[in-house]
Amino acid sequence: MDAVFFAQLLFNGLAIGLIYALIAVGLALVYGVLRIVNFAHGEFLMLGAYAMALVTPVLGLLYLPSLAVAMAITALLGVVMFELLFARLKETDFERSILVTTGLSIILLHGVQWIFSASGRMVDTEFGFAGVEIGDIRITATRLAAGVVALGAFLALWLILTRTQFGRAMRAISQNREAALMVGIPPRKVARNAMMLACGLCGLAGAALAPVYLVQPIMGQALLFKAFALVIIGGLGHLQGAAIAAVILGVVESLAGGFLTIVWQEAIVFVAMILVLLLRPQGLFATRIRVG
Amino acid sequence: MPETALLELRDLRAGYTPDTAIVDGVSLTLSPGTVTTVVGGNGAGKSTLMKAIYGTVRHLGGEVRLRGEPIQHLPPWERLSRGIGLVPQGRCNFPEMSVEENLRLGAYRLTRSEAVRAIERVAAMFPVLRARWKTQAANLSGGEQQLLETAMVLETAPSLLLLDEPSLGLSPKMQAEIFATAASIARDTGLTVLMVEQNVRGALRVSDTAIVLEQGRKLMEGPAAEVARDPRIRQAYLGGGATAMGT
Repeated sequence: MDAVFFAQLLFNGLAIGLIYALIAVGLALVYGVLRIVNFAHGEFLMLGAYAMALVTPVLGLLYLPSLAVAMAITALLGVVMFELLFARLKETDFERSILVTTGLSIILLHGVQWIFSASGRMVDTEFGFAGVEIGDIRITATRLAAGVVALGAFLALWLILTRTQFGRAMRAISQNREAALMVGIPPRKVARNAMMLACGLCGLAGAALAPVYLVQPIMGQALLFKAFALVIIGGLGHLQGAAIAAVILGVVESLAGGFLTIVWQEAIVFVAMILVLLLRPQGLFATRIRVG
Repeated sequence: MPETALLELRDLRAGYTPDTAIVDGVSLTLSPGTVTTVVGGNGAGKSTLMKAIYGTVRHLGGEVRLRGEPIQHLPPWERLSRGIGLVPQGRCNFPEMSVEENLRLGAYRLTRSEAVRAIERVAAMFPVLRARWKTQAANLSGGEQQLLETAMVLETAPSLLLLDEPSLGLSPKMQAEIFATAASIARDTGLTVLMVEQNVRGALRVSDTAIVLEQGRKLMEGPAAEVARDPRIRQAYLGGGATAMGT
């Protein structure tokens, strides 16, 4: 085995795995707090990528400010969607929530396609095609930046969830709703915050991916199904589980792409999901179903 | 309404669906610093009464007045801010968080400085919690979890504490400790306690007054000692033997 080739695949896998993790964690967060499986979650990734594609040239912003603006836009859209749709769904409305979020997904996808066409867009940043060379390994700056941004986002998310009442309230509701009411946590406000945070993270992932991949309306769909698989592998509503599963998947997918036929690169996550569902239905990291 | 009343229920009706009242026309007055036990069989509406006072079930009619102010239209967190705390039946904490984090969430409605003082206060009140500070709530014993939940609610310094089956699943020794703790907190702090309890004998022993519910309606109300002596209560809830008060 070529060690340089292996290391190159490993690094690429880590970077993309961290991005997958941002998407999956948002999905797990919304499920944990709202008990809604958000089938439109992938579209927030696509909206984040389009926001990046527009903000960078139109406002002339550099990479990081553009990411921040894209994240803010998707977080705000998340709040709007929550107030318009999600807040009207009850915990018991599982089937309704699937239909509503699937409908929202289709509307967002085709709305963007109608406005911007189905053609892909390239996003150019100040990094251009620059790369970082470590020995014989070359990593593109945009991929490296995406990984670093994702790591930073995770650190911030961990601090929010463990050190602030804003984040603790989300964990609280996902662990015990009745106890959350007992201590005076308003569920609707916390659900809105969770939606804002999840959509913001997903938008950030999309914005970070925009200079790496072609930006197109369909881009959120494929990643969403991978994110679902990751959330199931990690354990429904289990944030750390989803994040760890996502990073592992990124690496495995990258290695599979390098050493196996390309078909396996896309299939491997779903094979893993089916195996987990058969052997450990509660997920790899959950001690029980529905934890926060 | 008597001038000293803390809580008054006027013909309160509440339930889980719009057309079925589980609590059906209950009127009740609680004076400050008293301990009251709600007695009743399964399905009598005891827990629903507690939830109706705290606002976590559907209000169907009547009034809930706290210090004379109608609060039946307020959500639970507003009622908590006004001084009503509920410790629900069964385990009601955040199992995957430490005792410290649970207590921080107990202070959710408080400012940062108020929260620090409140956590110190309840930690001093329940030293066992301080000893288990970094332990996950799920790994505490049943009695410790009950104390944790009570401490979380007491952080907001409520005027009225609603305890729904505080002794559920606890050993007889721990049950006695829980009752004694509730009574001593009421005595020492002027807190009013309204308690639903299956262990009627133990609860009446520490209570000033008692009300008896049957099918959502109030059947009887009076001093705990008198209720405990009532032949119907002795027959139904005290095994027909000696009275709960030992008199």
